[in-house]
Amino acid sequence: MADDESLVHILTYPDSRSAELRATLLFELHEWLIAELICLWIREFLFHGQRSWFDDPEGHLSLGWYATLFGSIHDSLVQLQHRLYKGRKLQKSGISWARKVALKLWNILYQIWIHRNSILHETDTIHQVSGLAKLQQATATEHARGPGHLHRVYNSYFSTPLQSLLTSTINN
Amino acid sequence: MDLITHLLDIWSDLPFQPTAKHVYGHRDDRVGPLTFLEHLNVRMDSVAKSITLRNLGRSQQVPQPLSIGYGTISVGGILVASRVQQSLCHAIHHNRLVAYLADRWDLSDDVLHYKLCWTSIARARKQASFTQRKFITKWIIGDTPSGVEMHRRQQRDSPSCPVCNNNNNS
Repeated sequence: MADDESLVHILTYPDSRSAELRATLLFELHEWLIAELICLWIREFLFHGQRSWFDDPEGHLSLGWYATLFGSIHDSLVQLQHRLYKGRKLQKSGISWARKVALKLWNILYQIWIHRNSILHETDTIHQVSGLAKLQQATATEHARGPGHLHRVYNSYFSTPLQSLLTSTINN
Repeated sequence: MDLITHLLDIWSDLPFQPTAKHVYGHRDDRVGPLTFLEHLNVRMDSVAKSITLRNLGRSQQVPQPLSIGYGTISVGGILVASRVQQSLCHAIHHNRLVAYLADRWDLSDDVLHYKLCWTSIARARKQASFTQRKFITKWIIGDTPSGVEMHRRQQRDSPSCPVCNNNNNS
């Protein structure tokens, strides 16, 4: 039995391809955090926290990792990162770091959404979730009933074998 | 507005007459030595940035009434530092947004209000493309066309997940 496709479910699809995509995106985030000279503590906190949420969203909702995905960064993290920059005599600010993190996290969300769309629209899945089974059942019933009093323009459908009607697409 | 008013106050109490002189900002971005005033300006920028960061999330202290100048305006305890119209608009919409998000994400109003770095979120939104901003806004308000949402709009046969469906069928 498939789960309902809620927004949290989209972000935590249990299939292997989605899990692989999430792992890749998180790895890229981790690499970026290293390249940006992010404080080790913040880096591990963000990476492991976000990863544990993807693995078990229900257990970590109260910690606010879902909100973090939308770029909600706590002030104390911003201040910590700012102090690290100052300690290294860099001209960067904690706020600009938090801005970049927010953009990175939004990109992760967007990539997961694009991945979901490719599964939905580049296969027959969109037809399945749009009621293909019910349509085929209705077609079979109508075909068995015959043209009856329907206008003659519909006659061609009844002279076509049912199987080819059921396997044809809207484009042919 | 407040800074200038306070400066006017301080100047009025000085035993001498200060001379105002314009100094271009961010002169440390270019190559070359700085004049004394430019150096002071760069230092002031750095100190102001540190103070801002130190006070992130803390409520501002509204200054005492001034002896001269134009007075101060505060909206909901937040000092209006430049444009009144923009500050009013921000105060109204921001409070509504915080209340909405607190309800949606099941978080405390105070945490969202005082502990989040809203400045960085505002700057990220400014830098993001229109498509990205639209996508995030739709996601936050739950308008993203997920299975559940499309089913609610009666454009999907069932709210079930296409990925899980796909796996079950394969």
